[in-house]
Amino acid sequence: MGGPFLEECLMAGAYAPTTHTGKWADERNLWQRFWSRSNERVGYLFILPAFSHLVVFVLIPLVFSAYLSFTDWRGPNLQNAPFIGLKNYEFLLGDRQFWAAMKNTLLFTVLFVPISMAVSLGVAVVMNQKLRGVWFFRTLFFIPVISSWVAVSIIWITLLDPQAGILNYLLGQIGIAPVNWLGSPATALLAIVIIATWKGLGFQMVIWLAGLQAIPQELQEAAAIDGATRWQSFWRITLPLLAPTTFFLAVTGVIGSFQVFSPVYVITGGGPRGSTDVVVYHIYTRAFEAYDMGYAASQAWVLFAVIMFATLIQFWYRRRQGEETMF
Amino acid sequence: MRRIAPKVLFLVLVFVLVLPFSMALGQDPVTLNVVGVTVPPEELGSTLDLAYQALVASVQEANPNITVNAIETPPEFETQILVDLAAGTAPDIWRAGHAQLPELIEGGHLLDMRQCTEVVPELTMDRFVPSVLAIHQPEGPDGPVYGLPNGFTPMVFYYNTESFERAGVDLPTSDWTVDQFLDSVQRLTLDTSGRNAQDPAFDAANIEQYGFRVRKWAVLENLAWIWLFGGDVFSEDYSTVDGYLNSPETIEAITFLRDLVLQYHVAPEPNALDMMIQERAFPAVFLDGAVAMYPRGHWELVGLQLQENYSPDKLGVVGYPVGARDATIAFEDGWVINAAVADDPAKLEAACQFVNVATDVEFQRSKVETGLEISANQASADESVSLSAWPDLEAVFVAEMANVMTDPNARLVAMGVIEPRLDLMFENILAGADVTEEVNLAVEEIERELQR
Amino acid sequence: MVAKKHAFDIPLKILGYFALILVTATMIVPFIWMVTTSLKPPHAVFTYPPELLPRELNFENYTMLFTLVPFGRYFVNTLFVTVFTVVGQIVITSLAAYGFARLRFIGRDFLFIVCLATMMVPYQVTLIPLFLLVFGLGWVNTYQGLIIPGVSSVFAIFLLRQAFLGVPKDYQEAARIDGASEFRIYWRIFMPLNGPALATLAVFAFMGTWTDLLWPLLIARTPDMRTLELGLAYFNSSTSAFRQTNWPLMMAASVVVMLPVLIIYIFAQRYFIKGISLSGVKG
Repeated sequence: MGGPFLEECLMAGAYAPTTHTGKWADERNLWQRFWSRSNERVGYLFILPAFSHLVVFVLIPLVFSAYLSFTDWRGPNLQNAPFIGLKNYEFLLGDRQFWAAMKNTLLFTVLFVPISMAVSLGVAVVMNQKLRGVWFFRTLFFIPVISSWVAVSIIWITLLDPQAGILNYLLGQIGIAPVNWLGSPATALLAIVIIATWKGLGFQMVIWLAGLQAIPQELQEAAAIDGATRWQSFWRITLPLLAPTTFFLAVTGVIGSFQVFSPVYVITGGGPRGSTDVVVYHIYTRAFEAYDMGYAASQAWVLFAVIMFATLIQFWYRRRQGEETMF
Repeated sequence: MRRIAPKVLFLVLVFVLVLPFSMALGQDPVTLNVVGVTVPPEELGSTLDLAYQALVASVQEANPNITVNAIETPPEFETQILVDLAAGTAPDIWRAGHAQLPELIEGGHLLDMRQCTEVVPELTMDRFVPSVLAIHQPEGPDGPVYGLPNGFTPMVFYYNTESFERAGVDLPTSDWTVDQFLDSVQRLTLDTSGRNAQDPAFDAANIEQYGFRVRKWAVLENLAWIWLFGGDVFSEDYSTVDGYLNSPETIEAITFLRDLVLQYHVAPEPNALDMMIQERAFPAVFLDGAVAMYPRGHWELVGLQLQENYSPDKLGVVGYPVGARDATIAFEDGWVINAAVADDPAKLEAACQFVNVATDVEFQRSKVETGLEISANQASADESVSLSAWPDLEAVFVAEMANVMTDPNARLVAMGVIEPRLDLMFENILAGADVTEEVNLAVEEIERELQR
Repeated sequence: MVAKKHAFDIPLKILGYFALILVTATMIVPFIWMVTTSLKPPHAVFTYPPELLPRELNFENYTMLFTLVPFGRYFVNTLFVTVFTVVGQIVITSLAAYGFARLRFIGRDFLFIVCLATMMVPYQVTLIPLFLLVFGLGWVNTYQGLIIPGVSSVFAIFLLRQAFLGVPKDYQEAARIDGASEFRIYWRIFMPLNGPALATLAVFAFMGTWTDLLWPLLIARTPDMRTLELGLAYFNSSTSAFRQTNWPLMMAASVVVMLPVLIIYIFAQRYFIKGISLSGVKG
């Protein structure tokens, strides 16, 4: 993990001014600081259950998989896993199929995150207008969110059927020739983006809605009095005030879409012509279909580095926007 | 010293006398965990289900000390077995396709079945079809035997006799050549005005009946073509593809397949094929006469039979055409025993008893009824020709066994990565990519994998 | 909240409804399709034009599922596992979220970054090591094996932390001045104030556990330990190549799995609304 940035974050956290303590900047050593009144040690108790769970069920397996990435572990038998140093990573640099998968993932992320955020924000804004029966719509919109990916995938496979699917039928009604959505390399990834947007809409909308409702109405009313159009007040007031929500959705959206797996696994299996072969699916097939565990682990760690990098960029951008706290 | 001699003699005597008893008494109850003798819930009561039940019953009947714990085949079994082998929670016996053998062998997870012959003498290797048994013998006929074959099917062409009649084409024979094949499928391909693909006025945009089907599946359908053109994908020891996958013969074969789709228009393009089969299963489309002929294994008989438009006289099968070689590929599934079983002599014997019953003529006869595959038991395969509901077809399958070449999936661990790469190569080529360029890209990437 | 009504122009409202109805249609048609398809015979799935409503109601798939699956047992297993996981997640992650959001202690941000970083590693990668660990603990084919690995989630911590950050500082300060302990502040102020976030989390945890397939597949070894999703996955799991996918059967299984989640969700939905209006206090 990035050393300098980490320190910076720690510094930011440790030295950021707060209302009830300003003593963090002094020069005392760590031990004294640990016992000082400003260190709310009860916090350790609060995070203890979650953190010990994390250590046992996440970090230990993670460290183990990191070790595996330096071995040539093929097949289930761990005893046949010779330590080979950086060889997996060297091989990975020239692995065209892996980087093709990375490219597909990037394309998915670049399409999915903005599209899904924009669509769900639009719906949330409409919902926030205190229309009658909003609860009804909100209830319905959330149903895809709580459905399993397998169910959703099965539904969409039949909906997107090139000949008998409803989507092509509707397109046919307005004179558009049938599209082989999942069978053509040009549209398959887009179809997955559409399905993922559809599935995530309700969740993102609820998060947006919570953010929108936290914005004092007086602000918008004041803007209206000052003669701002709705559009202007949305761009100048609402959107900036939504920044924490935007940030949360962007960060989790990017992390999530770099790890998109289920729809590809169930719907396209990486095809056609490798156009939906996203990284996690690629890693999965390496590990569980080609029994190439060690190498798959090294691919996963490279993916981890890429996601980390993408997340850090977002944090950096947010800090540059003048936010004091990290998140 | 003299005093000791009678004692020793006595002891030996006691030992010799008691040993058979103790062995008989020593038949402690053994529970065998077996995956692969159940059907999914919606198929309960089917012929296959009854055959499995009979198998379990006869094992337990012949060996009262054995209890067979038939574990339902879990969804995603391939993932689960991998995790289980790592943790030591794998079943004692399961059915594994030939493509899973290399990694299981390399990981040391499979029992050498010669150990079984020692414990259960009647379980000898001569009951099996030699070319199928060879799949389990990576080091040749004198080496270890990892698992034993259950059933197999060579790939053949299914054809619709009505489609042939309609186009006025003679039915194929087992010795047909590639040229005869091409001539047939061209004349079998008809446009909406009834002109065939050899007609200069043939309208490739409106085809009513295709002669053949070509898909991207490199091993399942296309490898046999490469072989019969005299080419190959790998060197003999599977160490390289350079000089094989990009050999002139292989390129010629791949170009031929590509041309069937893109130049002669005798096989549907991938997109057209998608459109054709979304609504209905391919067997139904085939029986309707939309495609006259396609490569497939024995299990297809079951799928065809389920169709509403099925009638037995529509159906024929024939081997791949004869080129530089007469070749086909076979798919096989076998019984494998977990190597860990060898730690417990009682369990080892029980497991071997199970496989003995599972590969004998009696259980193997059920293959004729289920129709999924042909028995790998020689006697059972031979009698299947007369017992089968399709004796003529069955004879073709059995005869094709002589032409079977070994699937690289049964030998090479890296096939797990290489096969999808080959599929991608075919997929790109069938979509119009340049053959030589695609092949060279594939060679380069597969070479890297092999050298890793 | 009884603020002056917005001067809403009627056309805009109509436009809003129109948009909502359009979105609703795209949201709901697939599910109608799912339910009606589950009532069709296998060959009637793909017809042209597509039939949203089945010609005849055919409950065969459901009778098959219900007669062949020990439904009650699977249901109880799933409920047991899900309830413990959800309760565990709410308690454990909300505690951590409070610690990370509202308490200042040395190393806090470092520890939080460690948590966040683990979100970035795909689950499939740690699957085998995690299973080996749970196996080592002797938890294969036990309820704790199904429950414990899922009782905490970094995503949940992140979600709740964001919500806790939004609570005005004054609340915490005032309570402290009154001499309330941190735990009391967390339990009496922050938990009630963050109803929507907790309800969202609960629904997510519920749904994630209820529909999980891969982990129960590895842990539940005997039929009596199976969860609903796993039990239904045994249908259509035949690997024989000749079998056509039985879409109606798969849809019926999906409906059966989904229904309880839907009911729970509709129940929790009331808390969403309550919570969302409560959070209006912020402004």
